[in-house]
Amino acid sequence: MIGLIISLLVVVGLVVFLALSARRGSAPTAVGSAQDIVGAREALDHLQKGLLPAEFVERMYDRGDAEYVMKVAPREVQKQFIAERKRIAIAWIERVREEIRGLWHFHLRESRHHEAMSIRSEIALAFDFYSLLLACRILQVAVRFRGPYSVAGVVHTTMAAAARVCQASERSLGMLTPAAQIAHEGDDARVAG
Amino acid sequence: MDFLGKFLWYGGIGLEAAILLRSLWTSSYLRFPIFYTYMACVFASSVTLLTLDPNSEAYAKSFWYWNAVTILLGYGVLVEIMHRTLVDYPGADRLARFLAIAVFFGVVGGLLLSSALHYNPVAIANWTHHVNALERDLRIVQAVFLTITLAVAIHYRIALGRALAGLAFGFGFYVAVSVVSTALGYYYGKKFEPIAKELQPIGYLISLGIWLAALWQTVKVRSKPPNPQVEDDYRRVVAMTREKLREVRSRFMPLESR
Repeated sequence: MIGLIISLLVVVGLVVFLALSARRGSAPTAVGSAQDIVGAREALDHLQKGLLPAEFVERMYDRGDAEYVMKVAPREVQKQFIAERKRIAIAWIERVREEIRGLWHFHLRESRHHEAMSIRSEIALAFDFYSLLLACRILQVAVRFRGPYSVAGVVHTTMAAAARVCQASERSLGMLTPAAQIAHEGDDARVAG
Repeated sequence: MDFLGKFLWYGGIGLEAAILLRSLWTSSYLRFPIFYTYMACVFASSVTLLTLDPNSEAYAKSFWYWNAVTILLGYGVLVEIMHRTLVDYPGADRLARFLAIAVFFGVVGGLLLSSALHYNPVAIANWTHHVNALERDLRIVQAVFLTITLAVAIHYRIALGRALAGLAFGFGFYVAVSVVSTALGYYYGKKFEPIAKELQPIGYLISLGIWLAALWQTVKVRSKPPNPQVEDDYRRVVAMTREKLREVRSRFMPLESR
């Protein structure tokens, strides 16, 4: 019986991957293309400077504002405050998730071309990325049902993991820094001009 | 041989001949040499077995001989699919090879361990008593290798292309049908034999149809994956250069008009 179950599981796995590869097709992109590097650099900047700084995250999930509103504001305002905070928290997590996915796709497009790629770090990084995306999804559900203040502890742990992924991506980008700088400088010059 | 049996047999030979003749016309045998060797072997076996009496010992011997050869060549086809899918992506190729080697050593290690302990904990096969079980196990390993290749291609967002996707789908479908057929045959025994007798040839005929459709078009040999963004970047560079030239020219225009 175990033999039969194993056989059927293998077949199900094969059929799933055949179906997935039929559904997903992607146009291969050039390694280190300027558009890719600039996109990844921007995603990294958004994460590191805009979305992940500790003071920003702490402020968003801080109970201080909520406690003040609960103390002085009428019931309608309290309700609206909590609803707004929840909406902002969900939108923020979604944004972090999107930027992380952008970085991950950049990493995959680059690493598939590198023969010197370390399999160990590649597997570890894949684990980090997927667990982070899953954590973001769980956080969104938790915020939706239990409010933004019930998940503050988990948010800090998740953001620490996100910061680790950012560091890894920064190292990846570091390998392509000269090209990235040229592209960036070009863009800056155009903006300034 | 009943009508369905004859239809499957002659239909299979016809499709195999069509695939082989088409490959000569389009020269696609140069791109997939192992696959076409496999196809030629299957064609030869079908024609040879057709001339023998199905109840004779010569037929049984010939059948198992050709079956062993085609299963081994099937592994070659898998290597060809893996190589062709990942040839332009050394990083992805490295990961796929690592996973394939890990699975290979896992299977061999498991077999050595079970034979040393005289006990097979998952009871996948008792090869000495059931030849079906051996075929099923070999097909399971083929299925795992193909799954690894597809998983790596999906993970790294590598497009297979029409011909390669057709090869993978046709082979994957046939392997899946073979595993199910042999596994159920091994489990249910003689009760399942009438179904198993037709199931595998039907699956094979469908796979031949997939291969013929996928390989009908001329296969373009390419050394590098299409890089639309390289062209895009190049166009951007050209546009920027033109813009700079226009700027420079506009500065000189007043001088020219004097």
